Amino acid sequence: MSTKKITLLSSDNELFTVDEEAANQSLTIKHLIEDTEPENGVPLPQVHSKILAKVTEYLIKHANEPDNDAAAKEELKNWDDKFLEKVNHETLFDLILAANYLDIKGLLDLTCQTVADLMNGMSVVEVRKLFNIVNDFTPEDEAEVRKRRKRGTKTIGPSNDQANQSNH
Amino acid sequence: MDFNKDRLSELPEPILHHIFSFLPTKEVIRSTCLLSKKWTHFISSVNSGCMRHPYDWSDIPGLIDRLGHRKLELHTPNLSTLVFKGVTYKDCSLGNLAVLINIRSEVPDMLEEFCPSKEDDLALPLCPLNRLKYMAVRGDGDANKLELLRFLFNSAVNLERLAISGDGSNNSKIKTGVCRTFRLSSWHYPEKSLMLKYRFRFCKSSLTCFVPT
Repeated sequence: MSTKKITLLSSDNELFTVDEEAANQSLTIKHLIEDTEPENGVPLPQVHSKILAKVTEYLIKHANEPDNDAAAKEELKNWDDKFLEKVNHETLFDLILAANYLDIKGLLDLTCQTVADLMNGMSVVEVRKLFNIVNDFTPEDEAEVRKRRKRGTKTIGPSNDQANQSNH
Repeated sequence: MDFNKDRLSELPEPILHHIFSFLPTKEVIRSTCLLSKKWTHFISSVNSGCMRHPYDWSDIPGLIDRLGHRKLELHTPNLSTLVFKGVTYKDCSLGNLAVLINIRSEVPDMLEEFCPSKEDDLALPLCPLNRLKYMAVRGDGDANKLELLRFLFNSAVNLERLAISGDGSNNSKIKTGVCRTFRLSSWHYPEKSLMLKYRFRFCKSSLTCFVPT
C-alpha cells in the first residue's frame, strides 16, 4: 500500500503534506505530479494557505471513502456538514474557486450545494442582501418583470395538474 | 478583506450553473432573474442540460424580451426536455416566424422532447428539430398556427411520439415524418368532448402505435 507523501505549496509559500491517496482526489494535483514530478512540493499559486488548509483537511478526511458501510457514510456526511458550518461566505466562495481549480469533484459539489441551500426558499431581496448583490434594475424594469413572472406562474399550475391527471 | 463584495456574481459562469443545478428550477428563476441585470444574462444562458430538475422556461422569454436580449442561448448539448411556455405566437405572421426561427439556439441538437403547453400560445422551438423524438402540442384551427405546426412536423423528421391536444381544422393535412407513436389527447383542454380535426398522413411502415384518447 502506498504511503507516499505529497507536499503542496500554497500561494504564500506554506507547505502542506498529505498522503498521495488523499492528494489524488484533486485531479489537478494528480496530473501535476504525473507530468512534472515536482521535487519541492506541488506549487499551487492560486490557492492561499488559509484555503489550502481547509482543502487538505477535506482531502485527508475523504481519502478512504467508505463503499458499503452505511454508518461510516453517515459519519462522513455529518463531518461534511460540520466542515462548512462555521465557514464565512468569503471562505466558502474561495473554497468553491479552489475546488474548481484543483478539480476536486466532491468538494465542489459540497460547496456549491451549500450555496444553493443558502438561497433555497429565499426571496430576491434576501438573496441580494445575503450576497451583497447590487440591484441595478429601474423600478419600471423590476415591476414589468414581476408582472410577467406572476402571469407565467399562473399558467403553470392548471396545465401541469391536467397533464398529471391524464398520466394516471 | 472586503466583505461587501458580491462574490456570487463574480463566480465563473460554469460554477454558477453548477450551483444552480442543485436548486429546483422554479427556485432558480424566482431567485435569480430579478437579482440584477447581470443575472438576466445568466438566466438566458442557463445550462439546462445539467440541471437536476426539468427546466421550465415559463418566465424567461418575457424577461429576455423586456431587457432586450433577443437571443436565447442554450448551451445544452445533452438537453432532453424543453418545456417552453409563454413565447406567444399570436402576433406572428409567417414573415415574423422566419425571424423567430433565426434566433433559435444552435446547440441543443440532442433535444428529444418538446412540449409547448401554455393555452393559446404555441411556443416556438429554438433549436434544430432533427433529433426531436417527442412532441406535444396544443393545436387549433388558426391558419398561422397550422403553418407552424406543419413546419414543426416537417423539420422533426425523427419524431417518434406525438401528442396533440385540442381542436383541429378540417382541411389540415400534415405529414409526420417517421412518427411511431401517435397519441391524441386533450390534457390541456377542459372540454374533453372536443374533437380533434387534424388529418395526418403517416408513413405507414413506421407507425406502430396509434392511441386516440
